[in-house]
Amino acid sequence: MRLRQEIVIILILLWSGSSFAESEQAIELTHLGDGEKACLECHDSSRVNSILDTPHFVAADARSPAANQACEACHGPAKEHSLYPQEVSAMRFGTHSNSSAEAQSAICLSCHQRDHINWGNSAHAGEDVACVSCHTVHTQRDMVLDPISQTDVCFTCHLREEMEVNKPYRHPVREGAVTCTDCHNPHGSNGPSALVRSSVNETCFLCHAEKRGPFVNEHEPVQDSCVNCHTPHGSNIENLLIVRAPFLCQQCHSDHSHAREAYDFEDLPGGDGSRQNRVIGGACLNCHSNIHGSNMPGARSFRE
Amino acid sequence: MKRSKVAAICVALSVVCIPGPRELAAQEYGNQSANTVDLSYIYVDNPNGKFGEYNGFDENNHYVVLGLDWFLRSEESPEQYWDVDIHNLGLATFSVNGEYGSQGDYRIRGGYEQLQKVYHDGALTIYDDDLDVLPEPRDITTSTKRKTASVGFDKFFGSGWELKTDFRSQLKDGQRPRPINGGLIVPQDIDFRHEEFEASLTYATEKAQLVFGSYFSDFSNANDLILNTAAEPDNNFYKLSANGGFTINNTSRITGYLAYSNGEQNDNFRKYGIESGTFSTDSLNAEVDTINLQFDYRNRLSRKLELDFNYRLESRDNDTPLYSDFPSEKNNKVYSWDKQKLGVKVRYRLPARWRLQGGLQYADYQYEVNKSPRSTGRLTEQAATLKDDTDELTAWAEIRSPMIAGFYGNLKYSHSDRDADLDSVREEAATVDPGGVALSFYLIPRVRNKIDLLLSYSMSENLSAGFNLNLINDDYDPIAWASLDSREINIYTLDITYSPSTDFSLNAYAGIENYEIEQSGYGTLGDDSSIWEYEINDKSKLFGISGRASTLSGKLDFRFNYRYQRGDGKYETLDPSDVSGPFPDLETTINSFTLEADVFVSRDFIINISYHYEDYDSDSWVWKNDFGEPGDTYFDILNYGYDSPDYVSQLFMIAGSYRF
Repeated sequence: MRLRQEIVIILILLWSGSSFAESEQAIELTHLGDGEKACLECHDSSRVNSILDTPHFVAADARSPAANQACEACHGPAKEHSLYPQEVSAMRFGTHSNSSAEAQSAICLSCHQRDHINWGNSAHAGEDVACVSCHTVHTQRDMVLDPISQTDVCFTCHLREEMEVNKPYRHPVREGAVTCTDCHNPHGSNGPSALVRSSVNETCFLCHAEKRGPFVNEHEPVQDSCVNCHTPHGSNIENLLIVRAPFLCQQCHSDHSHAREAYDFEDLPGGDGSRQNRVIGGACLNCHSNIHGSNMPGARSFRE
Repeated sequence: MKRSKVAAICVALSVVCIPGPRELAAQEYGNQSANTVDLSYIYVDNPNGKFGEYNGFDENNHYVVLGLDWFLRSEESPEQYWDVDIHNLGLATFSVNGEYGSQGDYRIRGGYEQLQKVYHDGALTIYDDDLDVLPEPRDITTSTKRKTASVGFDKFFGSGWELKTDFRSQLKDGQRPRPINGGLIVPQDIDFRHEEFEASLTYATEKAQLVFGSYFSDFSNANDLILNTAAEPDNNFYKLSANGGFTINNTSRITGYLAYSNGEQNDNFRKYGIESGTFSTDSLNAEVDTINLQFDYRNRLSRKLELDFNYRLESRDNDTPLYSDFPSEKNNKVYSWDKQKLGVKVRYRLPARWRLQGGLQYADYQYEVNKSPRSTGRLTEQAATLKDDTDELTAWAEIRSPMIAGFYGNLKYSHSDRDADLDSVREEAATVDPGGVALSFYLIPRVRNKIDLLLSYSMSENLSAGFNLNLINDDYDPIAWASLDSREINIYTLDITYSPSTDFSLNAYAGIENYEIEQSGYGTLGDDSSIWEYEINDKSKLFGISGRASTLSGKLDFRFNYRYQRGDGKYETLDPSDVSGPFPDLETTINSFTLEADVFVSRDFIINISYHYEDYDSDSWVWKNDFGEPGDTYFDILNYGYDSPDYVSQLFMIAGSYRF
């Protein structure tokens, strides 16, 4: 009897540390089959009980855990755990889990894969981020789903972006009017940088459709990608520019017309008042204000 | 989670997240009720456009703000629920959203959101709102409101089918300052409408998932012209897509995506300054077709080894006709491309939970510019097709440690080499217009080295720290008409949380960003003696500290948050060295401080009292100080542009939060 118990424990420990791929080696465990009641006999705390008030425990929804083995739908068959609670651990989630992030997420994906087709290809999955690294299941208020508190979750790891949104020019992220998930799909996407659309521009045009065109005259970097000139998370420079004008413009336009000159102090206000003065303030954009494209015939220089 | 530990979620981040006590209550008392109503009284002193840029505190005023978060599930039929969320009602920026559904069957949702943006960087204009010239210049203070109404309906069918639909209508109106040809700044009337409809049909089984998607978007602008400048034209766009995934077995999975989209713009030309009779058409049927294709295959060859192959294509075909009936000095040009990426990634599990991964990615970009001819007094361009073929190879490797004595680390290095077919561009350009082709910086040859380091330390439940390092070094191949020589980006961020007990916690974070860019250009094309070089250095510093202390058995909670942000932008001419940089430094400083107290009157009722102070100092967006303050003359307006005014703002708030 003792030997059998040890074998069971070893096998269960192996299983609990296994991943999605390793499930081939998993053994058949036994369900308690008594809904959540048997589990709550021991695990009766407000944190655990809060799951009962979430969509996961609406039994009328045939897809929910409540309609499918209750706690055991996620935490695995628990009969052996109920018999040997100290020796045998049920499936645990989070930082104290013995299972890999991939194995933990596999449990969630068994139901939620339909909404997260690209999860396996995502940067988060590649970095061993589990679903529960961001989501809190045992609560009615999952912080990452609340636009006000979502950034707190994301900035736990994305410290650089936290810094960006504190700059003078930014999107209204801190106010919750724009959330990380308005632009990014943390579950993986078909766009670069996990963007919610296929390209940077297509994502930006969801709000900035006036810049979509197509224009009679196109400005190549604009059509190529908004982030050629803008840094969307925040900037010290007006209009979220990556470099202030005229230097940004001169990264391409250094070869002809008035853009190629080094601007000497003498040529600026107090000097002869020549056209170089126009590089101050909005700089090139003082005149070339239709820089995203123009519907003026022949407006090749985007001034009109 | 750092700031949630100190429970300074909202006010620490922004004064707009006013009713903060409910989050606190939920965490501290374990009451997970989603039903909360908040009522706040707020007084704002000395507001400035920037302080109220997005949050709706655009006036020096008293505000009463209502918030409601109400979730109700039917007792008889628990699958039925109502969810209402009202945020910041009473401010110019607010939202009201609601949802009703029967879980597992259907849901209906709707909402209205308004976002105000105040254009804080003041500008001088010589125009009034009707664009009549004024006798004296005046400051422009403008704002826009984005008003979005949305409805949606989802239906879950049996057998794995699901339908999702969303309709969104945005109206953006108001005024914003806009420079127009000649450097004049005018208040531009904004009247943008953007309507979107999105629908998707999903079919999913345990192994296979397939989503058919469609998206339709229509943008219209009621204002066509701003003096002599064309306003944004009406346009429309639609996209059809299919996205699928199939789990072949326990070790392999394949996903794919295919989309076709079409964008059109057929608004009338803006003909300012051009004889309308010279055109044979009033519009140009501008049209772009785009195809997106993506494919990914993952296979775990063994318990330790995993392979991932991926391919991505974005093909933009601009079918806009080249128009030849423009006056001789005018023409148009259109832009097309094919961007392809092919990548392979290998992950290997080392002993003791170490993880090693690496990969290669090859990218190929083919761009094509078509332009019609033109002839000006300065140059003559023939009709031409200019092509560029750029490719880039990236190799990367990453090692990740397990948790060892509280430490966890992740180090990633990548190296990429980009090359462009410059000769062909030059040759073609030379036959057309040596000065008319700019090989954009995002295409020129470049070597990029990148290092990302993450160190995390968690000694116990009480102390944790995270450190991020991001280094990017770009070395550009100097060419005649692209002047970016090098770019270095160094970013360091640190975050420390100390919480010895549930009653006390401290969090500190700091970050430094350093951008160094060197550029050069030709005074006279091809004349090396005319080369000039300069350096741009943009720095950012961020420091914040916040804390929380709880007393009286948790019935009184104090919180504070201090934030310092500093931006420094400098320009220096390197060669010729005797040219002093004529541009003023770009300096901004933000100091903000928040004090809060929560009084838990009862388990369900909380009073929050808070004070927020913010000091913004900017020097300088305009030409001033060392070179003299800008005046109010027309000449100054033409030459100085914007100013970002300093401000000191204070906010006092008392809020009650009741959970039910």
